[in-house]
Amino acid sequence: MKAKYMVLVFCSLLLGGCWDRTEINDLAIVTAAAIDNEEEQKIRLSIQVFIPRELTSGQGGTGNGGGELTTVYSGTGLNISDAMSKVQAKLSRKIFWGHCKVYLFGEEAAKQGMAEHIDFLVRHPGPRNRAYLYVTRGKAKEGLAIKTVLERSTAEALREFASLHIGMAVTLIDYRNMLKSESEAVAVPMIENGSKLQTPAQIQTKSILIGTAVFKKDKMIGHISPKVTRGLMWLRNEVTEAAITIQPPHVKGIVSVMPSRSRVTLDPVIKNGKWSLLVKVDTEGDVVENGTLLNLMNPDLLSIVQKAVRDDIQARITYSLGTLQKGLKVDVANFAGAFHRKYPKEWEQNKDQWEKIYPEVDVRSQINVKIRRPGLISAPAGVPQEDVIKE
Amino acid sequence: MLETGKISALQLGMIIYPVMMSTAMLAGPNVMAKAAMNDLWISPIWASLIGFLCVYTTHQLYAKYPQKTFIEQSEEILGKLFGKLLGFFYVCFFLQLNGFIVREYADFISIFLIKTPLSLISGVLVLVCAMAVMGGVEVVARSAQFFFPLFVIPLLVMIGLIFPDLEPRNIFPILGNGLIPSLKGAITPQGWFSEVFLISFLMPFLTDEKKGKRYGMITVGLVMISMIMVNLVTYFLMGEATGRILFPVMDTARYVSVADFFENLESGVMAIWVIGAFVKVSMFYYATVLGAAQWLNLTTYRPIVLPIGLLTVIFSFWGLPNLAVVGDLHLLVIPVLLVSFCCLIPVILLVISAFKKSNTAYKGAGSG
Repeated sequence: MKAKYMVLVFCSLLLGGCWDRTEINDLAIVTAAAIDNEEEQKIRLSIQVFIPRELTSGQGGTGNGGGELTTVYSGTGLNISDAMSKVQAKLSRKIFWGHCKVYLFGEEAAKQGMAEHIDFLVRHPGPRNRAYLYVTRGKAKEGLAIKTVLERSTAEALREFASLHIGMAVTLIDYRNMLKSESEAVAVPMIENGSKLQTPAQIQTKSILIGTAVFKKDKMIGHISPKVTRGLMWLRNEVTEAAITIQPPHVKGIVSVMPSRSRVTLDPVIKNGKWSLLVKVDTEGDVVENGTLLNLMNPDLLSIVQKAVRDDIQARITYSLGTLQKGLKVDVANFAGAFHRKYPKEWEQNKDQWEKIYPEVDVRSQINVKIRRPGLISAPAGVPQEDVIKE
Repeated sequence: MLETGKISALQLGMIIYPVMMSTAMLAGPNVMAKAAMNDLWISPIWASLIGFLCVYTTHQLYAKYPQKTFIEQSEEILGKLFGKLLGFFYVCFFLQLNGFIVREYADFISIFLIKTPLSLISGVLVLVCAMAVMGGVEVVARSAQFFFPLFVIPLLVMIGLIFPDLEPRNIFPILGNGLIPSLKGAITPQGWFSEVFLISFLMPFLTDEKKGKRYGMITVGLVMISMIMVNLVTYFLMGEATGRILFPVMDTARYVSVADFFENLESGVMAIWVIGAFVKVSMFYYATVLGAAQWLNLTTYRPIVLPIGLLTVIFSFWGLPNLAVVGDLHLLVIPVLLVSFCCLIPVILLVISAFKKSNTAYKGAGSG
């Protein structure tokens, strides 16, 4: 008898694991969150919440979209947690951060400093470090209302954008790493004002990504265009898939090359107190479109194209450095880190003066392009055989 | 003889590995990054020296006084009075330390299980460990052996999955500020490495005594390699921020994302940590119980298992109001205590015993 009671006692002790249980139907699953600054030092937290009901009942009506899958709640407060309590008061379910994949920051909030917001996102055990950050034109709350045609929600669409690497993709950890890096400069992708992307016509013609927001420490100081962003992505070794379209010199027509593999290294040199940096780019790719008369199976003609691609990449890098290094004077490519890694002593002595040194750093580039294959055809299609330039 | 069970040298290694590694896995990179920054991977190498020394002294003592644990050895070396006094300190130290370990475990778990009372989290762990200790050294060893792959394999899998996100250039410049930062980073891990001293409480029960020392050394080496690996992986991912993140390994696991659906592995890290904490606590628990029983000249240690468990839970609250204090003690106080109790005092005893041996040998020659 005694043994039986003992077993019961032991079993009941194991129930301790049920103390903090959470049922999935008690949770409001946040898919994206937006943070804006409001008047009187307040902030507005808006969360996009998944509507679970739609998943089960909406299966019949395929094709024409049907009802919304998500809804937006918002509240104001002194900081995120305060605002979150206000939002929680409007919800019948407990806010669950675990599936929040995207954080949007309004332009105003980004300009006034994100340190406090980031602290919440990193400190609170709910939000994930893998979530992507975006800055929006205008109010971030409107960003949550962007209609998406293909995806289930804005959050899903923005996450897919990040994994396509069209623009920069910055997760919470990347943000923190950039902030803690030697240059203390941060770049976060920027998206269009949500109110301009409401109707299907607007979505089909306008692109959602509009370049990159640039931060010094935690405050946004400027915005760079998609073109500058591409150069920056080359410098940061983040380019993946985007065709490079060039016009080879002395030839009529244009060629597009799709890089498949790229590697960028920064090689800093300090000589006689002069700081310079060599950007080494190694890239290889395939031709995807040929509007010229060149037969690209000919190695000599291919090298003309290679050279043109090289010049194009160089121009991109120079163009974007013109904005970043001379204009905004912000080291988002983290040249400072490259100097620190190679010249720790010199860096220690000069790190306080980096702001003065950076615009003066002499940047050269050494670009190595290898076009591996001409695609599926050799001579250009659509032109008579006798017009093709073979040599 | 208090303990009739027998374990193999391999099992000894499998107990000691999680004992040294489990705390290091949770907070190690943070602690070392604070002092050593990007040289944090060198710190375990310095710290492991003390581990090797510990294995050596413990084995030397054992070779001089075979079939005896440290509590009995100290009585032989220092005489009844001082030996008992030292033994008392050791039992108290183990009790206090075990309470501290239980607290670290409970604090980590309660970050996620917010509403569960701390006493329940630590109480349940100690209860499970009590069952293992009640079963004797064989049960402790068997459970450690069973859990060992569950401890190591998920860790390796996690490192493999996070690989694409790593940024290996974070490691440079190597030794940018000289050797000092990496040496400073080694202070806390020294404490973890000296925990290998616990083999003193396992060696008398080895079936293959001769291999005890070898497996001790191998385990210290493996722990060193694992620590370097864990440190590098977390630093490659998080860079200088590692020094600010309390549980970097868990953050690393949270970052894993493979094919958009294989993500959020932190529950895996928590499971590893629970397993590691179980083995670690039950080993310290066993050493406390066995030590106390030998100190009191009991014929069996089973009656004192539960009382000592209760004391362990109490010690896990005593003087530890919050995680800030726990972290602060963890950084310097505990390592200093560990190094002195697990390494310094055994070395002193070894020296004394060497003199004593020659003395008695001399006396023996004189009288003969």
